[in-house]
Amino acid sequence: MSALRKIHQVNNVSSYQGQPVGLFEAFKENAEKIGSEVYVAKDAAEAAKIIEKILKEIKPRRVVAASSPLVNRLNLENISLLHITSKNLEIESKCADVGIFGAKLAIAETGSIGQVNPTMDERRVSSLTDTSIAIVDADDLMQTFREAMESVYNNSNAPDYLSFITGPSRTSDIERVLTIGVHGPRRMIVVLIAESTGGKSNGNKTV
Amino acid sequence: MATKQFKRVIEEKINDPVMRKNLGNFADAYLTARNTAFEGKNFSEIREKIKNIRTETVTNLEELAERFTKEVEQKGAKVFRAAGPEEANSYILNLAQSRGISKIIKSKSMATEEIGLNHYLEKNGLNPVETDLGEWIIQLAGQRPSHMVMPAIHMSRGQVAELFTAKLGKDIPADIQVMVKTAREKLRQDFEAAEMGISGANIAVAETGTFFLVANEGNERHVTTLPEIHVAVIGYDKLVSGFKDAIPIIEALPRSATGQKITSYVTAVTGPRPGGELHIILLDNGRLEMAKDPVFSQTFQCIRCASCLNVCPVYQMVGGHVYGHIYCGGIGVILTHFLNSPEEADKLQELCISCGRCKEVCPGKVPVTDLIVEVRDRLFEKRPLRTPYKFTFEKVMTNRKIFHSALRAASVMQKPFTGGEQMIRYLPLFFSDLVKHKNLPAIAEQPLRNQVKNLKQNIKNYKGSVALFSGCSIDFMFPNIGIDVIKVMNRLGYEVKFPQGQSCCGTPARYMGDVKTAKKLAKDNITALEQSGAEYIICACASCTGALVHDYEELFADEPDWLERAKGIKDKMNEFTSFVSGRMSELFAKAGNVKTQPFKVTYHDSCHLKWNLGISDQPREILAQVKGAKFVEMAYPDRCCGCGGTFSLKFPEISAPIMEKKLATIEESGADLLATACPGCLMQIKGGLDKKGSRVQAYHIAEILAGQLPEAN
Repeated sequence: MSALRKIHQVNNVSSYQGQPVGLFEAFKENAEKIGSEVYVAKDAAEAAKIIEKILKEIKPRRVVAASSPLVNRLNLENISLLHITSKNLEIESKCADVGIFGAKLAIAETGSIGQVNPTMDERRVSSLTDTSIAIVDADDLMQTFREAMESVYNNSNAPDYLSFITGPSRTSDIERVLTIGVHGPRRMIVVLIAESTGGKSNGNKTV
Repeated sequence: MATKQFKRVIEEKINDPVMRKNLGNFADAYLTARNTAFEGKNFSEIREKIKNIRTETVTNLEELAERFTKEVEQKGAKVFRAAGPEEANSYILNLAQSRGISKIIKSKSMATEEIGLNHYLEKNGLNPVETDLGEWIIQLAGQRPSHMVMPAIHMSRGQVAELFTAKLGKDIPADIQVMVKTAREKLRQDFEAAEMGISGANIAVAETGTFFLVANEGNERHVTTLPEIHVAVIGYDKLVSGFKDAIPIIEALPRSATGQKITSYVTAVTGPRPGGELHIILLDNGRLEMAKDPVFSQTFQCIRCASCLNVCPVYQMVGGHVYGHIYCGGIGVILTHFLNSPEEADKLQELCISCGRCKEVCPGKVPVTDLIVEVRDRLFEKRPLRTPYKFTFEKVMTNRKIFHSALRAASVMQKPFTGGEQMIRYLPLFFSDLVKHKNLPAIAEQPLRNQVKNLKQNIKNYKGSVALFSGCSIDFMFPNIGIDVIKVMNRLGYEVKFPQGQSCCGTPARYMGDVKTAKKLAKDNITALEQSGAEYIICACASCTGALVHDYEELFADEPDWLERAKGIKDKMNEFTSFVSGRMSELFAKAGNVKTQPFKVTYHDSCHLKWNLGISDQPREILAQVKGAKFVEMAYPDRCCGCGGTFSLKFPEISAPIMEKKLATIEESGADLLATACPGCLMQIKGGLDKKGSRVQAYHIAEILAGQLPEAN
């Protein structure tokens, strides 16, 4: 944990809602407030172990994972206990219990993760299953929604598809009683990888 | 004028136990959630940004629409600009038919509700399935939405369970978790089979050809990803110029709509999905006309968050099926007027009590209450003179002598009903409704304007003179409050002049849309007050003060001479409590020990005083220094009392339950005295407490202060 703090002290904001707090702490707090589960891994290998543990507990019938440089770092195919599907995701996602995908950014203010120009596989894997596991690089954590929007906008161009996900799906349509898990996933898990890969996307960072 | 049938529906809804339960404390719970969500954000700044962004939209609407179209088409999607329901609906039908599509899913879109898309498609053999939980529920029930964000809020879990059981052919228990799971499983089948998905959009960006979907359930993401064809129906009023303009809107919308910092899903779509088709329908249906209107163009600032409904004391009582057509609540009146039916809007506009809470919370700074008055203005001219209100305003109130004689006659005729007391507790026949829930004050035998003629004013340490604008309530029903105001002002060293040329401030006429009468009365009042030559003008009625400070300037926007004169009056205007609160030490200087029994006092914030004039600390500062008083704050002190001037006469059945909630919090506070700074609220609350036989006494702050002065003891 201290290695993580070191990285994040550089990203420290002077205050967040009046409290001097690190970006990560703010993310974790806000994500948990709205029902996400947040794990921190010091590197890709630890992230894979965390996911293995989660899957052991869920005992899913089927797991799908959308391929991306971030997800591929985890070498999920090495998880012995069950087969994680990465092909034919158009069909497989519909009957999978858990969907694993990478996210290009995260927002501390709201506890959100963001997909920027996700592939169709990533779109399906992140929306059709009961449980979502999103992998994010801690380097891609930013403070506010505004920052996130500004970071994806480039010279009058917007991404083809941009998806901010904040916690599980929910509704209060019946009697204003909050119910978690409607059409989107019922359970949202975020795994942050602390290991810096250097020279990452976001120009705002001072690392 | 509200019809008998409308009144019957109102009565039904007010007594509906499901409505009571679901909407009962919603307004209070909502405010807490909303305020928490806005912590750390500057609401003033955000709403100013949104106002400017959408003002730009209105100014450059055609340009933005063209830019949006160009960007979208460059990305390989189609834009169809639909003038109205016929064009939009037939485009979608033709698209479906030409592709041989039969399976259609929808995510939430108020615009498609507005144009009756589902009904149109069903008539033509297609059955679009709503997938937003609330929308699906009302689709199954064959009902209209009763709230813009939570369409099925009028139904209980039991009713939903019965509905699901009947429509799905299996026993569904009244367990919310189970019902939501049922919806997920059933609708998942529809999602997977769907060949076309239809959505709305919250924001459309001209610069990049992007539209945003702000949602919680996840169904709208399925609409963008699963079916091959996606149709988005987007009103012109969703357009913004730049991509970054979406930011403040997305910051405000979830916080205002549901008290969330952000919804579970915010999705921005630019162009069709790989291997798919995207069709965007830009919908006019009255929006272009609205944009051209110098007053109603402000409606484009609306981000459809439904805050105005959520804080509306009337909506809370009657719900969206009464106070709504397709769009509900205050903003619903305007949208209905332009987009659907001016006749329906005419019915709805009556329900606005003009409390101003909606204006306070609107993230787009839409002046909802003012726009409703504008709707009334435009309708008023069209009405024939013989309607009782029009006759009263135009012929009676504008002629001061006739008006006052009528009131004098009434004060004589009322004797059988007052039994010589200060309150009217029984009225015969069709007037009995007026005293069903509260007792009315009697019209004073000697109005204030007569009493001041013979009043000896006792002024020590003369500082100057002030003019008193009393307003009708104090002049004719509570002259003693006027006398008490004079005593307090005397004590502060001011001689009080009562310009006899003053008349009604014009608020009742103004709020009913009679601009002509309001102007005539304003001119009479301005002239009378000018002639007094006083340094300050004092008024102890919040509504009258509001009129003189805000409305008169608006009334004379196109009459420069009168505008100048109105400004002159405004500069001298002082609402009574705000004048006195800074001078409390002078008031009680050399007063010696005033012997009083200790008592608890609570304060009711009148809507006009707090929202229109921003005065709520000053009365409390005064009460904190009143001898023997222990101030106790009631729960929700700024909840409307339900008076609303003429509203309590037009809709006593709505005014009463609003009042009951206020009386309950007053009694729960443990106070012995209720203080207020508005004679309208005083009339309502005092009448209600009197009817209940409550031990709580209600007073205007002036009465409490005067009672403490040495002369009084």
